[in-house]
Amino acid sequence: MVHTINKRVCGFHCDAYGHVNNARYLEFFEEARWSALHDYDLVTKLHELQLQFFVVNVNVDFKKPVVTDDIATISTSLGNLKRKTISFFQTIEVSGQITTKAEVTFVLFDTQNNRAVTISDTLVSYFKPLENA
Amino acid sequence: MPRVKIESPESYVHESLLTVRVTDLNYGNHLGNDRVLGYTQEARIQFFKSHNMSELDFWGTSLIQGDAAISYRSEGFLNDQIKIEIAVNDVTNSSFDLVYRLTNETTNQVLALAKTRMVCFDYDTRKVTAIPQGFKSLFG
Repeated sequence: MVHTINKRVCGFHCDAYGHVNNARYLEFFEEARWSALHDYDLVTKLHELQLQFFVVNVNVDFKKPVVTDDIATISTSLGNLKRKTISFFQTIEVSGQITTKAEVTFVLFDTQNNRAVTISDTLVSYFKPLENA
Repeated sequence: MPRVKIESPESYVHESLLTVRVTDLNYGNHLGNDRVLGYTQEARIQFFKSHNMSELDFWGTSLIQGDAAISYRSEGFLNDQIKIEIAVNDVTNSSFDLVYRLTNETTNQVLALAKTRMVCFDYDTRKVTAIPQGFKSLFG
């Protein structure tokens, strides 16, 4: 299922142009990912396996500006699963209109052996609840 | 959304240097992925400044960012020196790409490649505008 959080945009999120700064969107998306991972207990599970998320690729489309006092609904769902990488599809919506779209790709990094691990069936099963069926 | 592949251009037109600050680190004790986009903006502003321009006064128009792509290659740590080179690509009637190569000068490794699509925009009329001739004559 698609995981969503709502966030009120504050003045300090915005830059001199009056809208949310382009780099700040990545922070919004990261906050939404963390929230999704917490809600599905993934932070604990991956911590037990001594795996960390390392982002390796980000693609963002900026469609409309987001400004102070907007309520941004940030959605996160499972994207592409590959041998060593997983991606999340994420969007920001304001008043029902998509303002920003992103695909964030990451590896799971084994902090003991200092390498990215192969995405096993067990690991896939942890992320499956976030599939947009 | 297709994953954008970023090719490193053969030559770059501007370079600047940033130091990784303590506030740029995340829980992995390395440079946060979100900070890289901020670094590209800082480098972009320095590039424009070298031509006496800014994102709001760009040869008489302004700029907005249409998209961004980042491919992360290695880590950055506290106090590392990051060189950011900029190239101009794919100039059309109203937009152009900036490609950034971030090199960690401390470890001598490429830290990331990034690309941002910059669109000429009039903030008063909220409309896309033509690429200024001044920019085109230099990079078009």
